[in-house]
Amino acid sequence: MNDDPDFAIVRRCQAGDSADAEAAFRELVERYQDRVFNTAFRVVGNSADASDVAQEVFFTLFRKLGEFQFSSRLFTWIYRITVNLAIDKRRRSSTLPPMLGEGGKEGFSLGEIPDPERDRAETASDAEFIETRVHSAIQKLSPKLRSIVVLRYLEELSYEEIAVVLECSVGTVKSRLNRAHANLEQLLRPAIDTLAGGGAS
Amino acid sequence: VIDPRRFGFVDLDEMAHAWLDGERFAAPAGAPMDIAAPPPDPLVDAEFAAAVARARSLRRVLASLPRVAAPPAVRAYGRSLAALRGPDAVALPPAARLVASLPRRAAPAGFADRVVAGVGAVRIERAEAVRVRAIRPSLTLVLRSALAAALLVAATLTLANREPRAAAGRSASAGARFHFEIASLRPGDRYPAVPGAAFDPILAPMPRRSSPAVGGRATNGSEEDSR
Repeated sequence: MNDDPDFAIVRRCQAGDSADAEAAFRELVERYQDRVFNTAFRVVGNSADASDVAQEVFFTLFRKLGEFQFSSRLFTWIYRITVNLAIDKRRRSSTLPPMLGEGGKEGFSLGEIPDPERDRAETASDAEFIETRVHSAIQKLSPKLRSIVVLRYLEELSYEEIAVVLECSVGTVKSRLNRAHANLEQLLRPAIDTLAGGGAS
Repeated sequence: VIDPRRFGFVDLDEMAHAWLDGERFAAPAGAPMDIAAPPPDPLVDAEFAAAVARARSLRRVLASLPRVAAPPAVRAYGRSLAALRGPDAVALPPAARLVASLPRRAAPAGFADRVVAGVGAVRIERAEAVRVRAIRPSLTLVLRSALAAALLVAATLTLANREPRAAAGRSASAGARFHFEIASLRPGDRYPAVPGAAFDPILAPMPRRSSPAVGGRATNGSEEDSR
C-alpha cells in the first residue's frame, strides 16, 4: 500500500499553504483529470454533465485531501467519488428537460439516444459506429451496471479494485458484471454481427 | 456437454467470461471432457468455444470505446483550483464554472481571471455555492425553455430564502449578491456592464431588474438591501 506513487503527492498537498502544495495538487489534477472525466462521461452520458461531475470531484478532493488516511489507494478513492457523483448527477438530470445546445456525438441528452443504424448509414466509420452503439448501449444499463462496465472495460480496473471503489464484495462485482454482459450482449450482438459480416463503411 | 451449473455458473456465457478472466475450472467427476486441462487449447467443446468467442468479441467491442479526454474547461478549472488555498477556495467552483460556461462573446479577455480573483476575495458561503451550482445548467443550457426559466426562478427564490441563514457579515452578503449577478447573466450580457470597468464583486452594480434575491428580503440585515 505504501508504494502508491500518489501518496508522495498527497503528502505534499497536505503540507499546507505552500507553493509546493499548490504544485502538488495541480499535478494530482492533471494526473487524474482525463480518467475522472472519461468515467463521468460514460456514466452520465454527456459532456456537460461530465464536466460538472469532474469539477465536483476535484473540488471534493481539494476539500477532503487533508483527511486522507493512506489506508487505501488514492485512485480507488477518486474513482469512488467520481462514480458516486456521476450516478447522483445522472439521477438528478433525469428529472430535467433535455438539454439544449448540446450537439455532437458527445452531447446528446438522456432522452434522445441517437439511432446508430441511421448514423452509420449516413456518415459513420466502423469505429464511430461502434463507439456510438456501445456508448448508447451502456447508457441503457442501470447506474450500477453501467459503472461497473466503465470501471472494468474503460478504466481497466481489476475485480478487486472495483470492489474497493464500489464498496462491495468481489462476488457482487462478478454477478453485476455478468448481468451487464448479458444485457450488452443482447443490445450489441446485432451490431457486432453486422460488422463481422462485412464492415460498416 | 458442459453443465455450467455444476461449476457454479448461471450459464455458459458467464463461464466463458470467467474463463477469459483466467479462471480455470476443476473438472467435475464424470465430465465428458476436461476443461480444466492446461493450455494451449482446452476448448474442446464447441458450445463452450462459441460462448468464449461471443464473450471475447463483446469485450473487444467494449474495450474499443475510446477514452474521452477532459475538455479545456475542466483542465482550466483544475489549474485554478490548485491556485486557491484556505477558506476562499469554496467560492471558486460555481463561479468559475459559470464563467467557463458563458459564451465567448460574453466574456471579454481576462474576464474569467478577474472573476476568479474576485470570488476568492468575498468568501462565499458553501451553501450558496451549492445552490448556485444547482442552477448553472439552467443558465447555460435549458434557459430557452419556459420550464427552465421557472426552475431558475425557483432556485433564485431558494437562494434568497437561504440567505438569512448564511453567516452574518459583509462578505457573505457580497458573495450572495455576486453570485446572483453572475447567475443573472444571459448570453450576450457583459459583466461588468461597462466594458473595461474595474471589476469589483462587492461594489459591482446590481442586476437591472428587481429580484427576490436582492430586493425581496434583507441579505445582510441592512435597510438598503431590504428596500
